[in-house]
Amino acid sequence: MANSYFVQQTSSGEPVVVGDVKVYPVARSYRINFPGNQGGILWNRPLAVIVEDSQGSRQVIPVQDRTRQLQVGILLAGLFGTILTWLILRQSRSFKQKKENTNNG
Amino acid sequence: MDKVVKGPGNAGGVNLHQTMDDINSTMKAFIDSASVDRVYGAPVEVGEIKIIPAAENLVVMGFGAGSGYGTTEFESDEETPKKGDGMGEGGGGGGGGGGRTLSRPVAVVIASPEGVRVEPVADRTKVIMAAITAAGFVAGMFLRMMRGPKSL
Repeated sequence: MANSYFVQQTSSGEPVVVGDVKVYPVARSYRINFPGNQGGILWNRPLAVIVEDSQGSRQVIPVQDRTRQLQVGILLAGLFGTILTWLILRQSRSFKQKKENTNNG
Repeated sequence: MDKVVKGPGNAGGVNLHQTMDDINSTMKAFIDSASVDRVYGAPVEVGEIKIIPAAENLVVMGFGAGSGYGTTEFESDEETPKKGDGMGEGGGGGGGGGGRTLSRPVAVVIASPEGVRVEPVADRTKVIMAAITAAGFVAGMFLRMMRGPKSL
């Protein structure tokens, strides 16, 4: 049954025929097996579709997860904004301190 | 995986065996669910166009099982056996588990005789929640920094 704690698997399904072209769906799964065969975590996601025309040439169209891209982008922008704000405030405080020292001394 | 604990009289053995069978069959279904069929739905035909929905899913599950068996012996010091002398035995077993499946649409594949294209599906609620979280984090950090360092 479960031999490894982490398994990554890419699988392709039956083609969907539309006119002269065949569309093969491709998915990727990541599985974490808990020790002792006592459960696990499984993440299935679409990876791409392979389009094969009548002459046999193939084209890979990736399936992009727009929601995840936006989520990660927004969270990274928030992190970057925080670091930028911290740097600006630190510079501003340092400048103010130097100015006060010059006026006092 | 026939991990069946059996004591004399088979106490507790039947329950644990049943539990382990249930766990094994559920684990097999769990492993089998790592397939392309779980990600892409059946094509929907609209005229000459075929639309294939694609979703990601996350499955989390866990189990536990256990059993115990014990014997006890009571004998009085006197030579003649008294009422209450003898041997007792007992056992029990059981198990439990739980799991959760999360799923959300990612994209739709639109296949027509003119060509194939993939249209992503953006979940507006999740994006707005991420924006609120990020804005709250930035605002909180900004206010904290504006207060300056804590004096002792």
